Amino acid sequence: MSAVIGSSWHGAAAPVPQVLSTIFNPDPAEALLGATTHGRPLDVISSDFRPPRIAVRSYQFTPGAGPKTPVAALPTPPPTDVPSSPARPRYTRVAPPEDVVGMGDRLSMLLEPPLELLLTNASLEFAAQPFPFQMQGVAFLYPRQAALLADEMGLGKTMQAITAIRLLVHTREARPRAAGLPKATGVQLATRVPHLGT
Amino acid sequence: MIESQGDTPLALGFLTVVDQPGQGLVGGYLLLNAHARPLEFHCTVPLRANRAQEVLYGPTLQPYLYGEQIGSTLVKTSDLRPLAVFTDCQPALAAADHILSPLWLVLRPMDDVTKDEGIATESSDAASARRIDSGHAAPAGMALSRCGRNCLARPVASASAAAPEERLLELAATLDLFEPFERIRAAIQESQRGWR
Repeated sequence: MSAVIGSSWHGAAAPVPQVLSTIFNPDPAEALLGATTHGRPLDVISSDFRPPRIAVRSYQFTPGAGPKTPVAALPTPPPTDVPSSPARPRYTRVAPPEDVVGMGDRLSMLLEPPLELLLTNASLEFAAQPFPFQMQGVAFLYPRQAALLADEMGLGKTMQAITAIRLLVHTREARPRAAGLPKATGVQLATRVPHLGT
Repeated sequence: MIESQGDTPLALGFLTVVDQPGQGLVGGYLLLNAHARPLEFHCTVPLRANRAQEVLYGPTLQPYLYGEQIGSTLVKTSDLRPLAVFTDCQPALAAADHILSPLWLVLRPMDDVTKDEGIATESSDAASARRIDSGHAAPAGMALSRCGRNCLARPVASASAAAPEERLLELAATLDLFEPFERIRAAIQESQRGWR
């Protein structure tokens, strides 16, 4: 759907009448005198120039209470020799899965802050800065109800899964649950997640 | 930490207009809370000017469409009154006279060349050997302000072209004010796909 402003409308609402008239008369003197040409009125072509009210689609979101900690500043880009072009932080965005069909749901995911900002706001600590492919893995897991993350050994699948869970808990889209685990697994998780209860 | 006052959540508005090839101008307006989480999103249907409009409005057509028509319509759609509205489209600054919140132009990081002391001038000797990766000067007639690592501009002639208020400075220092516009563009593309 599109709206064309001017005398012809393809919009949703009725035009607001504001008429700007253009008088076409071959003899300016006659126009100044307000005369008519050979007894017939002047030709007047009128056009409406104010467009109708533009149709607006609105979506409202109810974000979680947000982080309990103050918003921390984004990582400052490293200083460069060319101060006019500072490097911007690299952002990883959450894309809505294909099975999410509601426009409001899709937009709410698209309009979420980038993952780096969510992690900063959540004050999540990492033993080492995640690699970009690991951030993409977290962005893949974060919006899904269920997902399978498969990769080779040692590439950080556990870290990605835990980070996604911590983000979900932080944004109050998931609640912490007690889980029964083999002792060895619990010890391993506890070493990876310092704040995880045992 | 910046908190909301009373029951009204603290909000920042981000306004942009995207020219969709073959469809027209689509405006998007995103309201974020202090944690950069989305509160509201509004977007318009594509809007096109016809040939008569282009001829008769001349150079004022773009500010009229971006600012008065799309910008002010979107900002007035929301009940929330943001602390400030930011835009990355200079023509959208024409909406400043029609909305209550202060409207700021967010300059791209590439444009941020002033270093608080002056704008690169083409007449200087260095202009003949400009780096092609250097940024551009602020638009003429604009007053610059720094908010953290963001560079904001406002028309000098604006009645309230004062420095940003303290709350805004404190909040903007923690945010990348250029990033939300990327979200808006992605959301506009998504909404356009949904309408087809």
